Amino acid sequence: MSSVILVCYVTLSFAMLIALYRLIVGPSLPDRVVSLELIAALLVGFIAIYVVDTGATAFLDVAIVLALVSFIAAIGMAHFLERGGHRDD
Amino acid sequence: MTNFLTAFFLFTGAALMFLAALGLLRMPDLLTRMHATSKAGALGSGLMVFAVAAAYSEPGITARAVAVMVFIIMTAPVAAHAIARAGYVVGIDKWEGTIKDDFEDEFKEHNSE
Amino acid sequence: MRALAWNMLAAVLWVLLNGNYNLGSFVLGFIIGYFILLFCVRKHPSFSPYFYKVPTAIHFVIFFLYDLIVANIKVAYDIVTPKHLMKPAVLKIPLSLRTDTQIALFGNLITVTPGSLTLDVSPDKQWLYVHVMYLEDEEKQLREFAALETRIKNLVGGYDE
Repeated sequence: MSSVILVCYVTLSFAMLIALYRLIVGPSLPDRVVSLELIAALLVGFIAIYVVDTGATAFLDVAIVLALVSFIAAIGMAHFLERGGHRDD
Repeated sequence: MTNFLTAFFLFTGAALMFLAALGLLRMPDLLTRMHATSKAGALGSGLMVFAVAAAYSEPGITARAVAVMVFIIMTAPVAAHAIARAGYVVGIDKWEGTIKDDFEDEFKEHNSE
Repeated sequence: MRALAWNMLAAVLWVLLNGNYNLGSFVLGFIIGYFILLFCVRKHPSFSPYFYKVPTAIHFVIFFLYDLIVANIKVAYDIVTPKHLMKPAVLKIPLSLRTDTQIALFGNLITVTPGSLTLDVSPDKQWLYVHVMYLEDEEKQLREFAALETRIKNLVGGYDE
């Protein structure tokens, strides 16, 4: 069980690094929004592993809020981009 | 049994999330990248939270885990739709392998009106 | 909808009386409640459509999970191998669903199925714009979407009209 948890931590860390690379390099602004959304999903995954690992179940509330905030951030960002109109970046 | 289920769901979820990140890195344009994150990413984090529900059979924890899961899986398509629309408004470059695009014409009509 | 509420009530009662507050006993209570309702009120007009809708829903979920796994493997293969095999395209598919609930469910299901992503609904609700990753045959793809639409119509039709 503990080895599975370790493997999951490492896998998610690599995934987080790749998502960060896309966040920094990402050619356009919508690409960065997509990678931010993936980072939020990865954090929810981290919280899930942490809860199984240590038994600190209070962190599940953090996962709820994180999922909510990432959704609202994506919608807000999309709205902001739509109002801005065409852009070259 | 519970231990095995938890480990299985955690591992599958982590693998899916890694695949989503790899897709985000490897895919050539915004729309194909969103394919990777909106499905594999949402399903992966949903499975990992479900592993928590499988590990603890207490009502409060199960209820919260199921709430997170339903929320993630229900909101991922909506967010993908909003970002894709915004991408079209902003004017993203599409991969040269794209065969046809009916949506582009629609936007041209809208913008010219 | 009323039948579903009664079945939920039966499941909650089972959980309360049983004392095991977890997901497994809720599912067990739901199954037992379904058979009790089937036994008692099979002939009642507001209940009878419910009994074939539950097997339809289960069949739908199984079909959907199968689709999900197969298409995920396909996309995963394309991500891992260096050459891109995909042929992405944005299609305009005609909608035969009319209510907002059904269109929203259809759009979400298309997004969750790997290989396709809903972009937008036309303002007059006649067309749905979908990005597909593997466009082999446009006619075949449109037929698949139409089949999914019929499944949704069988599942939720009659409840929200």
